[in-house]
Amino acid sequence: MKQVDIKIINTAGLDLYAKIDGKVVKTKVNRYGHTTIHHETEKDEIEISLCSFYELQSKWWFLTSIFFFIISAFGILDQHKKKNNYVFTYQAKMTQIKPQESVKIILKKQKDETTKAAVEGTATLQESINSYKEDPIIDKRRTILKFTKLGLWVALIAVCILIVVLKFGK
Amino acid sequence: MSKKQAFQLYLGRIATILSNWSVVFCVLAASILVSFMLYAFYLLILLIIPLVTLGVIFLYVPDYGSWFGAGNNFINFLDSLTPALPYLAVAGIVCALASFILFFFTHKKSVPHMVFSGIITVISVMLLIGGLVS
Repeated sequence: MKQVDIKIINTAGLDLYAKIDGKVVKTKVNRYGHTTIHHETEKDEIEISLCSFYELQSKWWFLTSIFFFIISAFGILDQHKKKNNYVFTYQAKMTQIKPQESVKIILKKQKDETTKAAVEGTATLQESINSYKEDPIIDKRRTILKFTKLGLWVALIAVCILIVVLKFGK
Repeated sequence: MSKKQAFQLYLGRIATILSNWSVVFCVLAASILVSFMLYAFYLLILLIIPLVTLGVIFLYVPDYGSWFGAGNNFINFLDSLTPALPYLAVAGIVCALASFILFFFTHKKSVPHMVFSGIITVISVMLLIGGLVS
């Protein structure tokens, strides 16, 4: 059985999904915040597909975000993830697989036009998609949500003050 | 990203929120159950303050002794919360169990989260039994 180890560096704030030969594979996040994938295969070549997903990319992003904000006691009990607005998509065919293969994919935020993830390792890869770039829509939506949440907090405080004044104001 | 994967992502978030709620309910239930300990802690603080301030507190607060009596109001308030204890414990159990089940269906199946939810369930059950017995 051939062992394939894929390590993706700097995945903080990314919800990463991996598929190998069209099947969803389990990803693990190690103590340094890097995502690792371990795969065993008999084949000589495999198809690797990686992609990131944000809730803010979905169709119902506003409704779902507000729903989670309210049920989590105005965000207090919500999960707090590192903010990231970079979208990662990677697709490649790994060929001539040796008994022990390792690939390191480094995600580095670039200010210049380099919008690719750097790939290192012993494996032979034929990349078809390699993209790691900023999505301005996520940023815009995050700003809209920030102000909406602020408005909801102000409304909550106003309601609390109103209740206190009506009850104890005499 | 398929709809199923997006759904799993949402399930993970709901599970985390429910897990956090279960901790809140558990802490509230526990604090009611151990309210006598909080009262003892209050008295201890009141005894320590004159020692730490070398008695200067009596100069600035002449009616410092009345603060000991104020503790009765505090314990009366905590006593009034006692009927809420079983409800809080049950809410804690429900949230912890729901989060445990939801974590099982998420993409990453976070084992530490599942273990944590299990522990909170056990503590909530103990608090429920403690509340019903007391």
